[in-house]
Amino acid sequence: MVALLFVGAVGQLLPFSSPAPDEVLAFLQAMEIAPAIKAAFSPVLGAGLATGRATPQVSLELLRRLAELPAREAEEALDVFRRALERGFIVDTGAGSSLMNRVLMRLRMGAPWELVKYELAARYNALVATEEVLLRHAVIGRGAQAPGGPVLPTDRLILEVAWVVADYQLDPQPRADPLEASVRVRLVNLSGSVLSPSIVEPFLAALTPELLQEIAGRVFQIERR
Amino acid sequence: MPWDELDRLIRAAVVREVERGLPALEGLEGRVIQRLARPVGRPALARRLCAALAWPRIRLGWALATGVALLAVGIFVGRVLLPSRGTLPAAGANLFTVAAPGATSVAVVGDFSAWQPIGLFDHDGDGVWTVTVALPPGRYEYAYLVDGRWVGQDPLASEYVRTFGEYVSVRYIGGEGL
Repeated sequence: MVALLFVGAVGQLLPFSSPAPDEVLAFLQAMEIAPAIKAAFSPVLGAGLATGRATPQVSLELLRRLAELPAREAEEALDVFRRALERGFIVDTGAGSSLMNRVLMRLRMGAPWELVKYELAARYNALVATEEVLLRHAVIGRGAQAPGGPVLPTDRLILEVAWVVADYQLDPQPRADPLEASVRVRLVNLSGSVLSPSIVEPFLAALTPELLQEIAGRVFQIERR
Repeated sequence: MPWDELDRLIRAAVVREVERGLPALEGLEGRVIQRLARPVGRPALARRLCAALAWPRIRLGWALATGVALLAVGIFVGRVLLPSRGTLPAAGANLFTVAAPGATSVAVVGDFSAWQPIGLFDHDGDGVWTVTVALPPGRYEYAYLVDGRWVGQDPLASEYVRTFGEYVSVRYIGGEGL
């Protein structure tokens, strides 16, 4: 009796069991999508899971939700995630916003697929634009590494800056706060937790409105690559 | 001794034995029936306990029902008394609370749960729904689902984000944003 009461009560505290990466990849293989998409996505997802660019929990949940969609839509989403992981971008932080979580959010909201696809593409473009502009201006020394390479401290910085830029670009109404102020607030708030102050402070010193405008201007100009 | 004499002696002995036992046999059938009809006395409590433990008579249906009931009580106690779980490793406990009087179901969805609903509870029926979620440091976007309706602006949020006209709340955990 006592054992049953204990199991019932303490079971509430136990964390959900985290799926193994193999379980995520096995689910991908079982999806009813084009074999070529699976073949292309599986190795980069495996590398992303191994390096921390994606987490098994969110990845598996995303695949489950995508499996409920028409195959074409699932393939469109997986193609973007593949390109992002191939460039070494973080697609799921495990503690905050990310491309994978954003798709899950829109699906939870019941958004039409065209909107989900549009936002996913825009946020991917924002990642590419942020990395390219920061590299060109030597604000960061190295871009994101290939999917099997290590996650750099600046990778999370790129993600957070790109996220704010995309928030502005995707908001249909003009915002009261300038983009630069929002980026500064975001990074200061994350400094000391998921971003090291040694990364944030030099970046904020180099940050200018022109830099962000250059990034924002490229978000909708980037061709598929 | 001739065989005839022996036979006579045996017959006489048998007759004597039968005549000697006849009084004892009188009313035997009635006494047996009376004894059988008499209720058997209950053994002592200790003996009954020993017997029960040695040879437990378990009825499967009752055992299953009792087990399920105990498990349900345990789950209820856990939900009422213990903080809820999240999908992330245990970290700081974060209270999510929303006033939704009259609602029948309230949940929070967010980056911390892969946008899967985590139920809130209104234990005392005052319309204030709460749940505690353990979150590691980070920046989390979230919203409430009140009877399935999206409520994106939490008064307790650090900030709001609006994309495509829909709000989500933001909470910073750890760092300077705490």
